Amino acid sequence: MKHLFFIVGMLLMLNSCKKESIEKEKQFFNFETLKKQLSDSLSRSEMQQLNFNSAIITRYADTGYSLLRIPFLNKNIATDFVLLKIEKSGSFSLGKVINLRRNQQQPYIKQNSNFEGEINIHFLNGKLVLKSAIINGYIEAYHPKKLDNSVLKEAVVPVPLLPEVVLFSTYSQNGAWDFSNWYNLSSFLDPFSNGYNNTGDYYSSSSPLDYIEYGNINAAPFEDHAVLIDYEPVEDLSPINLKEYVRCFNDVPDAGAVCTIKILTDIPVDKDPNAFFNWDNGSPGHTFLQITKVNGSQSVQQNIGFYPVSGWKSTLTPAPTPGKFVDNDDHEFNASLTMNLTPEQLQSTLIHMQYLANFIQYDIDEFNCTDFALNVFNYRRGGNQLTIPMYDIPGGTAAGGTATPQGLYQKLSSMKKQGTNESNNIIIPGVKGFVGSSNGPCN
Amino acid sequence: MKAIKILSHPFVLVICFLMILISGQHLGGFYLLYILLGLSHGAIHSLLAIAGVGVLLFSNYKYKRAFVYLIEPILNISGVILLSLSLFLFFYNDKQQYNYSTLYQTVPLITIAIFVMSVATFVSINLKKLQRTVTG
Repeated sequence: MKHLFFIVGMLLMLNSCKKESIEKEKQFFNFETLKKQLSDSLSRSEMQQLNFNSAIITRYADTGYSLLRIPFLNKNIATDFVLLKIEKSGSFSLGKVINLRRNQQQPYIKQNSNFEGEINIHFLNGKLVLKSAIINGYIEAYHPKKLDNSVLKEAVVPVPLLPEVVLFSTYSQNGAWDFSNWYNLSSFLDPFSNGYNNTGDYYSSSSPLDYIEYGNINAAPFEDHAVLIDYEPVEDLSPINLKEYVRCFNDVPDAGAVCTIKILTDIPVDKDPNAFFNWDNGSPGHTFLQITKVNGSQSVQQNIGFYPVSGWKSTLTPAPTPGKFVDNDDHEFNASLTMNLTPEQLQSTLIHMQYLANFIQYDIDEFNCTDFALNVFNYRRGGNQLTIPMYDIPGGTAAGGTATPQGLYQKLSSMKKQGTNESNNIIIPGVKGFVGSSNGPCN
Repeated sequence: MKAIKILSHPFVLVICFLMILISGQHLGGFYLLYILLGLSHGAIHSLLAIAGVGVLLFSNYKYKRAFVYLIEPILNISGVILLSLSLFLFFYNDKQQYNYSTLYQTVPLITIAIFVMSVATFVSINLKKLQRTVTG
């Protein structure tokens, strides 16, 4: 009981002291500067058609840029607007003219109905970028040869792809219900880099409720609040037989094989890389490994993570508890680092992993999923060990701090920003990605 | 009979509720921990739990289980509904089913079963008292 009170006390203290490290960015830009920049791309008559007083800005704290929607005079901002990507400096770096049309025959007021219609995207100079049908909310041109949405949802990727134009939907904000279409604005702005494989991103209301009611105040753009819409998979945490999973790699010949090991981190709160804990469901995130061996047409891929057998024991006792290995098939991730191995190195890494499996126990502060993954990943890295920032966790007794998925994310993120030798091997998807499937056991 | 009396005491009910063991994929602990964690973020399960515990403790403090007034069993039953709703929404809103191991691991299940038994006895006693108070 004393232990519990200590943990509770520590958690509350930590929670109350938590820094809001993602500070709400204050972007000061004035329309005059923006108009001047825009006038380089638009003619005087086109400029006169823009209604700057009814603009909507959407800020993205984790990316550092904002998206500004400027409607045209006498046109609805839900269907016709200029979309600008505003950088921190206040100037815009990308701009498009967006026009959406909903099919006439589609009933307008119908909750959860899918968006059927057409989208036209032009450069600011008027040149057409894209003209495409929108089927079931998906922009057809982004998904060539995948017109059947059932294929989109089930076969192309193991998790459903989200449409670029979300169905006519509702979202409760400050107790009010907002009935509107929801757009993935970044997919409109940079169509062919963001449009594919969208499994989670920020969506903005086509016409926010407060905007309709109150409009813009003090000639500043109305500030919209984008909502993260993503897919949260439910996982099977049945323990696996590690030997049976490792055995599959023997089926691929060594000569000429390309082998890789990838360490992946799934942070607790996708939209907040600084949160080391999900305060709603108590999740600290997860770190796991993906091991692949490819030789011509033959390939094996396994996703393996380390978990406690009984999660409830973790905070009741400081002692290690029995652990289990789980197939992290299609698990989500927020950052990953890939390392190439020779077949011999892969073999020794697999032997090391099986050796660890003989005796390791799960200990939330001293040997958790991140410790396991780092231990195996670093086994053949020699002097170039991947080290991550360690944190003191509430109730933790580890002298040097605890390895956390968030710590790994921060390390990979800083390596990527610094442009180290391995930065090309680091993947940080927009919001999150999914690892793909595992081969499963081999007898 | 004595066991039923103990099990139906509001303090026992509240303790059983707070001591429910939650088993997450990596972490777990008593439900009290999750209530406190969610409280600072305004999580609905935390707010309902605090309201439920508050209503039960207030009823016990104010009326001392005398069951003279109609309001006492009504408050007690409302308190239990709030606690149960808190627990239900905690799992219902857990879209990743991160804490669903609670529902199929023996020890956490036993703690839930004890809470359910406490709720059942508490509610049945309060319903009887309510009926008695109404019929005079």
